[in-house]
Amino acid sequence: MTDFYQEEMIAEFKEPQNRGKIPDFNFEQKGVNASCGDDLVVFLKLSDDGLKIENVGWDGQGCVVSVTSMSVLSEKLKGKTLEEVLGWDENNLLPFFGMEELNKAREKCFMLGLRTVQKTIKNI
Amino acid sequence: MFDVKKDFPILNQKIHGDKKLIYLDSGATSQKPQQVIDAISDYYTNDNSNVHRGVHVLSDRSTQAWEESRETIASFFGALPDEFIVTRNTTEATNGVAYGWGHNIGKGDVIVSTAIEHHANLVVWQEIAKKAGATLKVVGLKNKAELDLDEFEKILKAGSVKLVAFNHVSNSLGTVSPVSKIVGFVKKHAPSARILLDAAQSAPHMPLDFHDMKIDFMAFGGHKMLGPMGAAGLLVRKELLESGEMRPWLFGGGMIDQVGEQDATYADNLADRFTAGTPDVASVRGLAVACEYLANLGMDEVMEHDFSLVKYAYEKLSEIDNLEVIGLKPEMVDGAPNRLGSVSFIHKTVHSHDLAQIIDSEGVAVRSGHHCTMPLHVACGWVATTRASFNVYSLKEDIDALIRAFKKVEKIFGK
Repeated sequence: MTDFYQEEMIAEFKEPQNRGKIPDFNFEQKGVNASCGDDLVVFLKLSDDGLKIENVGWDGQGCVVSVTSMSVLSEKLKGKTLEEVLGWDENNLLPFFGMEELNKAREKCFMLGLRTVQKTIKNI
Repeated sequence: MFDVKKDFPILNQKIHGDKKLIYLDSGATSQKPQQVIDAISDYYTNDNSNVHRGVHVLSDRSTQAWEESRETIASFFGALPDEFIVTRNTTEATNGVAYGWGHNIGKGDVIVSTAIEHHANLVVWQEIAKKAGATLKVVGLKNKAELDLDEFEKILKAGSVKLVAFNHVSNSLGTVSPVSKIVGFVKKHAPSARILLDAAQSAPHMPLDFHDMKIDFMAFGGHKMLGPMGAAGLLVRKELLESGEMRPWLFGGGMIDQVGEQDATYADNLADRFTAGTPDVASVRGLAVACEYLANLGMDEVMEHDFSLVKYAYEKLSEIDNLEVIGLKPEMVDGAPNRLGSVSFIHKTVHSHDLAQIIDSEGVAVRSGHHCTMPLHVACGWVATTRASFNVYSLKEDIDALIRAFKKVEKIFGK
């Protein structure tokens, strides 16, 4: 059985964190995995000096992997600087899932949230 | 029904520990019988050399393997060897029509395609339409399951149609297009239009006769019909090749007659004219052996076998809670199956990727996603679908294994 379907992940999937649009977001970015139909939109609220992520919201639909990864990421992002987040990769998320290595077949699902957030930051 | 699993060595393995591998992803690519694997291996073990232009024994054998294989494959489809252009895959074959014949499309002309096309037979026409200033008209769907033939006829009647490109069997829905009816419409309302049939998903499952269908082009992929990856074809009606309406689109070695510094003439031999560069003899040999294998089973029997699997899968999957099985209910229409090759489904709560991965954990390989038919998925409001697809080695017990795997889905996600 693949690691992605442990009870904790299914629980996270069923009740993901920070789902929904936040009222006072500054930036919005859509992220899509066309080949599998994961479709997310991320909302970021930055600190007054524009250097930190103050609040995060996201919405959309996707598989267990993309949704749980987005959910975990959304909580981790709060209070981090934009520069720091730009340097993140899968290693910043894998520990939560108890994994050392990324399943290649699900790499796109797993990374969709982080890639979308990084795209938002690059476009700022 | 027949059982030829023993001919396919790859199917004799266990995965995820002790799970027997059940392969239900033949619509993406089929597995290969030992006969095909041996033919490729034998070619490289005994006969490999470049074709033509050599007088030594190996070159002679290689040339013979190439030419005999071409004949076998062409005749499998009721075509002449000269009408068969070897390509790498179906996509390259539809591109062959675009780049070898597309110059006949001009400003204001109409290209007709359909909402159920694989991207291989749609994106290429978007490109050509943009380049030529032509209009691409896409025939819509009825009941999220089949082509709207009234709309098809209406588009043809409206005029200026230069090309009609449609698929024979939808890779997502399994729907079999009524070729003779559509060809009849074209001959009646747009008699000068050329017809391209994408036979990628029909060639593995039903008898095809290129001349009988009265079409101009047919694209097929060898790897979906027990042949190796890398060998496929475009059939082109001989008149179009002889008149020069269809031109070579790859230039260089092998396809020429005389070459000067500034100009060249091209080979009179049609097969040569459309074979630029060194061909993949071994793969084409493998495809020829695949055609012989299928011919031995009998394509009528192959179709019957496949249709039994489609009916069984449709029935069993329809009994599963929270599962929507898409496409037509399988039945015989005008003496022929209305769908072939695959059955796709959508779970009301579980994403198709998760579904496919959990099913895989039970040893069963199915495919999830949009199956290169994004416009179809968008039109039907489907994010993604999961597809079980079959070939000659598939058995009802494989479908039973798929059904059993749903127990695991229920266990993880709840009913």
